[in-house]
Amino acid sequence: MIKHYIKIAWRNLSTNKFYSLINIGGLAIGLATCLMILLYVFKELSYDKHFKNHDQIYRLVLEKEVNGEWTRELYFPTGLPYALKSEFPEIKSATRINSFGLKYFKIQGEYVKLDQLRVDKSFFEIFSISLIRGNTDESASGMIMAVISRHIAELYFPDEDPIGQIIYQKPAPWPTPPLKVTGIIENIPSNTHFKADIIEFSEENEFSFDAWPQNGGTRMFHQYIELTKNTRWEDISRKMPSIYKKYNFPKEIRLSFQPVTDIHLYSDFPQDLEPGGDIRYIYIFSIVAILLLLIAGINYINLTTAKSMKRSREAGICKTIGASRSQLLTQFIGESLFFVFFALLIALLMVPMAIPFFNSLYDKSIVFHSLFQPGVITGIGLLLTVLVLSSCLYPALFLSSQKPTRVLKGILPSSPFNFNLRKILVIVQFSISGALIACTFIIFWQISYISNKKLGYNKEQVLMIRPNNMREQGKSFKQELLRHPGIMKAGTSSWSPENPYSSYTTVSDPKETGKEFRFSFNEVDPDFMPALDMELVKGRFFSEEFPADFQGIDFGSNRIEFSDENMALQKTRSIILNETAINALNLQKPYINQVLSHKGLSGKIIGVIKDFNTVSLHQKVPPMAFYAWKNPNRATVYLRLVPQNIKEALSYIEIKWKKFFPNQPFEFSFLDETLDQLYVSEKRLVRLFGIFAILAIGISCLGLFALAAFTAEQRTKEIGIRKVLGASVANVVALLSKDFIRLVLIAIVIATPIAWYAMNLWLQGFAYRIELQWWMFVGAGLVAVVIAMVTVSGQSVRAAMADPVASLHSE
Amino acid sequence: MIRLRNIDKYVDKKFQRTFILKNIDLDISEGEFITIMGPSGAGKSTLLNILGFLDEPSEGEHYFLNEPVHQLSEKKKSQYHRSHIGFVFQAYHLLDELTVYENIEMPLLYRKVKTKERKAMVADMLDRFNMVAKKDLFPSQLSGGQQQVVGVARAIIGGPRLLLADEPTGNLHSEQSQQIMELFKRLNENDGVTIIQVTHSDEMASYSNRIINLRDGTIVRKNPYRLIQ
Repeated sequence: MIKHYIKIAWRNLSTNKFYSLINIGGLAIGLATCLMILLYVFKELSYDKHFKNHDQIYRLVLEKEVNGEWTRELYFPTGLPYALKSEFPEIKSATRINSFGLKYFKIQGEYVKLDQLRVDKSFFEIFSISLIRGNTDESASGMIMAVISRHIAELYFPDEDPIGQIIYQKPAPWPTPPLKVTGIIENIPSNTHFKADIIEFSEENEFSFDAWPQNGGTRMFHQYIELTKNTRWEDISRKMPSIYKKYNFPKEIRLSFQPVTDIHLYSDFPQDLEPGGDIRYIYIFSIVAILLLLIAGINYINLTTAKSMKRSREAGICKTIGASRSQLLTQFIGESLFFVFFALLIALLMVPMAIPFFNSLYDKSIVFHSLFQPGVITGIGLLLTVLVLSSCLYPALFLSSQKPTRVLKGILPSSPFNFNLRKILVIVQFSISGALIACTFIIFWQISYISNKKLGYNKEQVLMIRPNNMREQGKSFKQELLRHPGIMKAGTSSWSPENPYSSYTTVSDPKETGKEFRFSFNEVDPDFMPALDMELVKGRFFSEEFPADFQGIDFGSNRIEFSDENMALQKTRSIILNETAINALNLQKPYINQVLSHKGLSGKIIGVIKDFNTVSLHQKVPPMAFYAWKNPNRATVYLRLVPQNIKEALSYIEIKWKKFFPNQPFEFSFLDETLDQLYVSEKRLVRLFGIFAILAIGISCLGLFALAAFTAEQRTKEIGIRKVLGASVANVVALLSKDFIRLVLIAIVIATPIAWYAMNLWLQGFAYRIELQWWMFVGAGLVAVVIAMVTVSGQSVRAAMADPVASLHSE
Repeated sequence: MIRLRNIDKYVDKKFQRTFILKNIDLDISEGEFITIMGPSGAGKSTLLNILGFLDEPSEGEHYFLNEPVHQLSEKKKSQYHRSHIGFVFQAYHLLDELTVYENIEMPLLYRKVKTKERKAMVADMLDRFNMVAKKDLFPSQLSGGQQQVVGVARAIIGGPRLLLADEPTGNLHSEQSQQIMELFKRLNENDGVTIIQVTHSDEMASYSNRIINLRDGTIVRKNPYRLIQ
């Protein structure tokens, strides 16, 4: 019997190739997209869950009250977790992690860039990373112990045992002892909140923590604790106040505990070891997946019900030859299942083809075989069940309940399958598509707005290089570079767009205590601001001609002298502020030559520059203060190049670099490209949304196309009569198209407020954003209407052009 | 075999009741070949549908093999349907997606007849109607007469005791019509199948052994056409 049903289903499918193609094709595309999103969502949700005791691992987060608001930070005095461990028996272990990200190492005589992690030994107790070979217990003076990943071991030591090998660091102003490889670890899974090719480890007892340090202490480590089984972080948290007291915490500071599995999706600290995901995107994409499936499901319902006249005849016949209702129900549901599984099969073929594309677009490493894990399979099962129930059960119930006498006489089954249901479903489809189109447009506009916004400096053709140990050499290096005709200007600064947060300091007015400002402090040489074409509002830039610009403490020199004399000079050292700083501090005119003696900020104002954006436009420009430096040690050198011969200039710069810094690998980047990196996630979003919108409108139009074809087919006789009575082709096309176009228009009216609301919410995330305008939605709506019109009119024209004699004769 | 008493069939539309059948009393015994005649809208098809359990009378009593049909459950009716009644339609109503063979086999599938037995039965039926060569063709590849032969084969494969035919020759030309009627005649005489057909044609009616004339929903004892004259 089942064989029989499949046979009927298959023949139904192949005799109506056109409808089947649209039906299954649309469903398969919808399912494939859903599967992709499912893979992505599961990957994102799986972060750090591979650690054995992930439920017990927490990262410490510092919460600080500034101006009545709690801000959160990751860095705080080192040694703190060990102090906590000694206080609480519930804490099983504690550890610290630090990372400089990609670091240069000299392996086998060559510089290579590796993801580096610096940890305490106890790291290996907390994070279950399996050691393939070797150990993590060794220690030796004058050397750092390290383990390397299997991947690195195979790549750089293919023929020899990596254990015991020595790896050298790139020279730096600080001590850079060599590393000894003591073991090989399994590769860190990509769904981990840190990356590591090489993990340097050392004993824990390096720093101790007796009390909250007055000067802030050394702050560079991420600190983790692991609780014993059956302990919850609330248990610890409740007892924290006594710890605050014992260790003399300032009253505006407290600790909180972040589950390690929350780090990837719920944390957006600039200091995070890896750029995190965003739980909001999980929600957005899940919703989009469901919507796309809904659109595909609606196609299925619409086409099935449109064909129900024919199918109900079949049901009627089967009833007269003895089919019971349950047998018919089985047949129709079975047929739907057959359809859906056929679509699923095609979708499963599509997914592996889409994965590389998605991975390159989203910088993710999704793999096909992760489809076959219990969670994903359950997800697929659930999706299909919902799909089958929603799109198949209803038509099946209806068809099987038809009275055979009616359908066999050719009376159309009426009630639930009248055109109204289909109309509503088409409206739903186009509301979703219209909203997605509008969202895509608006995201796109916002992104082009931020990438074209005036930043307050000229970001084009600026090359950035970062030498170490410049000091006195810096000046001659710069002069040497400027000799080349392709290099127009050169300036150095401690500021760099990748790392704009590095130097925030709290500033407060002694007269107005309690009010604090987070200032960004930057050191620049006199050439920096002119090199980047920054605009001066008042006063002057730094200049060699004014010794007062450089007085006080020289942070660039070998020995930083905090002598009384230097400290005094520092108080009247020249500073340049930006406009936001002037406004924040509420300074009065004239600004120039005012001497500030705020807590954290002192000096004589010599210039005010226009605000310039140092960070992503998600944030407002912070108040900024600039000091001049004479001989910076480690800085970013900005070189403004002549657009015509960048290549030549580049090779010249490399030659000079090798001459001045022979031990350092030459590396460069362009300012505009680096700034673009800040909007990577938005650019991905617009591309993904674009794809989703295209898919949504595509699937919707497939359905509309089939529906229009079907309607035209059904109304052949009517069209014939109208033409005989004198209707023109244009009349008939208008007659057939206007119903559908009206539906699309209604859909747009529904979609607009939804898209408006959603986009308004999204734009809140930008400090600088476009205003939503009515014409944006009209534009998006117009696109939807035009696409729908093209879809429908093709069918209508064909029907209208048909010879009325033939169509009337066929009755 | 069949006994109808005071059968009414009506539809209520707004405040008006329209009778399709009114006060029908009818007895049909096993082995009869009956023709129901009458002008369009007389209620012929409705009566046939009621006799075939496809429709229910609004009022009245309907006995089939002494069972009160008007009191039977849906399930029971469906069972009777399968085992005792076969249908032939004017428009053949074959399933377009199935071949001749599969169309004839269909009722057996619904009755869960075993594969082996089923094959034998279908083969027998094909043989009997000289359709063996056409068994793999689809209905659209057959002539009207051939389609109707398949329709009849499908109707009788389950061995029904009652065959109902609603204008079985309405779409056929005369030669084909005669073939179908000969078929009916043989079924009636050789296999003892009770046949009730609806037709407009006097010629087709002449094959039967009793004619029931319907007019405006009631049975006219004499030939209604003669009354008009």
